[in-house]
Amino acid sequence: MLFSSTIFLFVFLPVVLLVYHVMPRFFRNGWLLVASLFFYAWGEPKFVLLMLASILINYLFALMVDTYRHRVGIKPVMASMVITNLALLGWFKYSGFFIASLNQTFQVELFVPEVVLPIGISFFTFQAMSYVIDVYREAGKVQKNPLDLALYIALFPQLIAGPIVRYETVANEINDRQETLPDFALGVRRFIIGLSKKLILANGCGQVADAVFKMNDLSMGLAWIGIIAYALQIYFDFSGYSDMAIGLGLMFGFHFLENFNYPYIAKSVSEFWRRWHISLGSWFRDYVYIPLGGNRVSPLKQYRNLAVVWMLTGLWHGASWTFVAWGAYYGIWIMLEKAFLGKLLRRVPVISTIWTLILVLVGWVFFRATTFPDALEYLRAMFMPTALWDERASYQLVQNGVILLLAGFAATPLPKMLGQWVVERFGKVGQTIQYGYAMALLFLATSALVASTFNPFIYFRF
Amino acid sequence: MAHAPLRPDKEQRPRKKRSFERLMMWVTAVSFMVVLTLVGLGTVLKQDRVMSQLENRSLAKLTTPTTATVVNGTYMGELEKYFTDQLLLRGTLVETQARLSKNVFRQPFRNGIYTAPNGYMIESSQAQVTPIPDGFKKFVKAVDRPVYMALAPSKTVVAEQNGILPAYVASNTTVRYKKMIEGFDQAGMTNISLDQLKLSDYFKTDHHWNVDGAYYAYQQIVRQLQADKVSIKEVPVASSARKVSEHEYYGSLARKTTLAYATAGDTLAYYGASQFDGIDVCYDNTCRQPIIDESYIKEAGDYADRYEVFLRGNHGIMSMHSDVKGPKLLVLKDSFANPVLPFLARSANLEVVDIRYVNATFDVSAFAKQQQVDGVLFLHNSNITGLMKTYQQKL
Repeated sequence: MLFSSTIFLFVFLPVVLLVYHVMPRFFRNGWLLVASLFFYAWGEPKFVLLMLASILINYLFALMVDTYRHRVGIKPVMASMVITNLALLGWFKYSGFFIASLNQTFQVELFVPEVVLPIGISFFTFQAMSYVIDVYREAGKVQKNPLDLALYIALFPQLIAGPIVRYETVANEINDRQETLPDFALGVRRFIIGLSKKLILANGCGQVADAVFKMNDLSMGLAWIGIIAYALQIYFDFSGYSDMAIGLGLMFGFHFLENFNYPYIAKSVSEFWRRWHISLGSWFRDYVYIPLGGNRVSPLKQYRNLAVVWMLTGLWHGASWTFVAWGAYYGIWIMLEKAFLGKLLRRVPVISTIWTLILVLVGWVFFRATTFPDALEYLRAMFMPTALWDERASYQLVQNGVILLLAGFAATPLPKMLGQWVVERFGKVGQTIQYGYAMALLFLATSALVASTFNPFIYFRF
Repeated sequence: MAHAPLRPDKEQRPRKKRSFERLMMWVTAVSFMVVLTLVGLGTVLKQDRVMSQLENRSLAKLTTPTTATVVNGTYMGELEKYFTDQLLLRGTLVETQARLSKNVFRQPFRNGIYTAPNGYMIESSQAQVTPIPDGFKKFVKAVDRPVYMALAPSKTVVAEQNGILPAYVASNTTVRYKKMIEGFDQAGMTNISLDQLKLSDYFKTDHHWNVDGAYYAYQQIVRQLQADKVSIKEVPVASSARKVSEHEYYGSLARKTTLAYATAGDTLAYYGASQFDGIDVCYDNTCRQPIIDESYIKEAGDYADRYEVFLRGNHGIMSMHSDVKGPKLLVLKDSFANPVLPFLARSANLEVVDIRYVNATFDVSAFAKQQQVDGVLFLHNSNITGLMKTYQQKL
């Protein structure tokens, strides 16, 4: 089930919230777990078993780690845990890609399995690993009750698109949390903002990006419009989903960490990644980069560690060489910034923001393109075009210029600052405006959701 | 004596502020829950709608789950589709989104439709020129009777020629229209030119022509047949019999954009049924079908398909016979023909085929011979690229 679906919005969510808040506290975790499993099973019932298997395996691993923590041989247990989880993820997400790559490289014809990717597997696998690792590091207590662990991994707000909630973040709240009115109201507003980001801005920009990326012989203007639209689409899509997850969490008394912090105002690529998909970046930092030695090893090893992290980051996003290239691309820039570029960029604040933005846009080309040749062709149109402008670019600008401008504005901290200023400056009136604004957005987002299913039948239109 | 403070002291003010803040939190939480619950409950409890006038389609129905459909997830997909189709205030929400697109996002196009300043809604179209299938040439030979092609320029063609579409819009329907006429000409068909049609001969909010455009087409057809020495008379209609719809007509293009983009509705004009007395219309094994069905004119709702007033829309095979002294024609047509056929049936006996609605094995040549027609008339608009494959199979 998706948050941006009518059945979630008008059936699932109100039922789950109402029942949750009227039932005795003792039953609340159980109800949330049932609701979360139902939520996951909605689209792909069979994969619930896979997720439950993952939960059970990691539950047992954590018990072993907790019990035998101080005995010799715990590291092989941890290694087994990592291998098991990665094998699960690898089979479902990467086996086809891996064997197809082998076939292509070595000109062999190995059987390529057609494995259906279970939705959210990357997220729940990483959360499950986070749980065992945090128990190992004593950053969170072991869960004796498997149902509570299942709730942590399967909790529906963050189940299928993150943020990756680390065990240490919510370990205490699983068994001891307070649902409060301020949290609930804040959660409502946050959820509505996320829903609006997704349905109004991301989908609006997505129409432009989809149209442009389907075209051939792009002019320079059209190529830039297309990639800017895509950058805005992916930001509002993903951060909108994170907002919805954080908002839903608050309605149930959970406090997830922020996942985005206005990434397009970053002054360096390193900073961009401290602002973009923060939960993934910090996951790799704490569970891969630092265990590899992080910054405490020789410069050469530091670069090796960065290379490993960024290849994995690329691969995490998708089973394709374009994603690997995308990860490597960021790895290279971050290494350069670490070596010397970072110091230079700090001296030129405005230029550094523009520079970073251009690098990020180039990165999105690899992310969006299906193949390398497609990506290179697109980059050629952006930087070495045969035409600067064409009618198609004019059309996109006239048709979608306002929504792109609005989205660009919304991607900065200005709307939030404006909202805070209104509330502080106008007191009660400001708070009333804040409420009205949220309700208006809910109405508009729902309109956009319903309009996306608008399907006038005029096939026989003559 | 101490004065009572005129303003609340520092300790009191934040408390008041906090209480209002808390009130707004309650309002936010409660209204969110109430809105979601009411829309959900309203959708579940209200009677299901069968048809959407706006979308001109049947809405999804509630299906019964089976173990197989639940396990493979298709039932949930169907249930979501059903719920979304039946959602309370669905039409209002769709219109709201269209208004947002128009008034806030300032989008001149909606679902590919452009609304010109004069209120005409135009669907631009850019596509490759496709050749006319050789089936037409074979048909002309096989049928061994005069074959005519009355190809109306689509509204987009006329709009392009009038320069109504903005310069940045890619649309090449005129080029394709001309190529199509050349192709039919090369296939041995006699072209009946409808090039003089004006934009005012079309509805503003629908892709069809209006009754004036249709009457002009009728005149051109008769004149071409007369030029070919066919014994056929043009029978004028009485202007006093001309009627107009009481309700505004919003056609297919308005349905695609919603009323948010339709700056003006149309008036649908037609000639009363008395003008067509003596013509027996048969289809679906029933004769004496109405030529003009005014129930469509009177139907409530902005998006009622009032164009169905002409012959109740499309039918696979239809005959229109009377005691008129004129030729017997086979008309192969699309919905553009519907307002023309009543006029033409006063000048000729007609066998009418809409190949979109006949069965897969239908053979047009054999039908023409079996009906012993004197000639064949293709009556279409130029947006028929999608029909070429079907014609290739059935001619």
